[in-house]
Amino acid sequence: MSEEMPFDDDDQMLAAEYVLGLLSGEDLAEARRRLAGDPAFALSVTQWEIELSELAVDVAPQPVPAAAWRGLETRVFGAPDMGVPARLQAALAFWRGLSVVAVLLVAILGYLVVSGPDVAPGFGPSDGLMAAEITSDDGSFRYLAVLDEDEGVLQVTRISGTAPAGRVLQVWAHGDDQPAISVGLFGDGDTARLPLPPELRRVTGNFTMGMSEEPPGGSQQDGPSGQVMGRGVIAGL
Amino acid sequence: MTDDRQELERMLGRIALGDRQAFSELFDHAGPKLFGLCLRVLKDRAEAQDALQDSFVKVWRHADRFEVSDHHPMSWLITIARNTAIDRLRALKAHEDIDDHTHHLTGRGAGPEAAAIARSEAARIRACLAELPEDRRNAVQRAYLEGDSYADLADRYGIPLNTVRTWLRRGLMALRECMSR
Repeated sequence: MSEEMPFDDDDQMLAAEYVLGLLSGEDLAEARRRLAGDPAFALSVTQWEIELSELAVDVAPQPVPAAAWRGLETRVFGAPDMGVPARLQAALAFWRGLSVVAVLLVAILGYLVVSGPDVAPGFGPSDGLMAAEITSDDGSFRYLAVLDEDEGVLQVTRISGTAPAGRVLQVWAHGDDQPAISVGLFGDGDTARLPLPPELRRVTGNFTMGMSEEPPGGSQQDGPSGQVMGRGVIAGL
Repeated sequence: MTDDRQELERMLGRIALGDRQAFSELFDHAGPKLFGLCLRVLKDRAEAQDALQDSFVKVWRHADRFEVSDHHPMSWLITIARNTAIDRLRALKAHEDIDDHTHHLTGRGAGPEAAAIARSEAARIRACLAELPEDRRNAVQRAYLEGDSYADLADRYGIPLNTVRTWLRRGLMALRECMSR
């Protein structure tokens, strides 16, 4: 029933223009029809896609921001969204004018909202939740850190300040007289929920935190390699 | 290169079966190249990151189509990332109907010719591209990497709009002829 369709130069050119995205209107509609129903045309399109992809060969690979994978994972696998709720994010601007104490209270409340009913309402050491600010000396860099001892999670939320262009923020922590251990990369979002490495779950006394600016992918050495942007301490664990 | 190709084909095969580990491996393996491409097209890190994610969502959903296509794994991935980035670029420019340009992946196996295409050597493709007159090679490149339309190309190369299509098609035809030598 199906007769061999004649396949000529015009068809080849139509396929090439389709791949390059140069078609519009009736030509584009025709290309789509042919793609769906004409194997020879579909093959020509694939052939052009292979050939023209060589134009991308000289494009240099670039380090992928860590946030890209996390966001992708959530989108594809539907991991639970542990981010700060939108209304809390909207409140962030407001927090910037508040005192440290008020900010810390709101941070813990916000964390409870995010964590859901598993965490008892209320705040303070008895719930295993503690909060501190990670700040620079001049106050231009301010992040909230909420430590959930029971879950072994440090949640960090941006109030103000970012990494310099082309750099990423890395979160560090250590106990007294201990070397700084990486907790994780902050990523491009407004909040990061970082599981604590085992060494940090055993910290007693002061839990000292820092955030440094690092190359994409994070510090290549044991401790921070870039400038430390802010520091904070949760006392009395 | 052959090892890389087999490795990518193996990952895509496992992704088609829903293997998350393989998906993560593919992201580590091909992510930087595709991110570089998205960045080249979009020239903005946040936009490029979104385009990269969109591309990999498509890879996850359509990996089974790769297996029945006649594509090389890397050119399949590049095609997805390039089309995703160009669609996003055009949506940003918003000077054209977005839907009009939404690309569709080819995914139809086409029989015995497939093997012949698979043997197309990258080096030969590049040599043929290099044989094109410089302005036409640049024009093809601009359409592919910058999303230029015929109107853009006419403008850029000072060619009347009603002849720019013939002008570029001559270049594409020369490329096709060189490839089939």
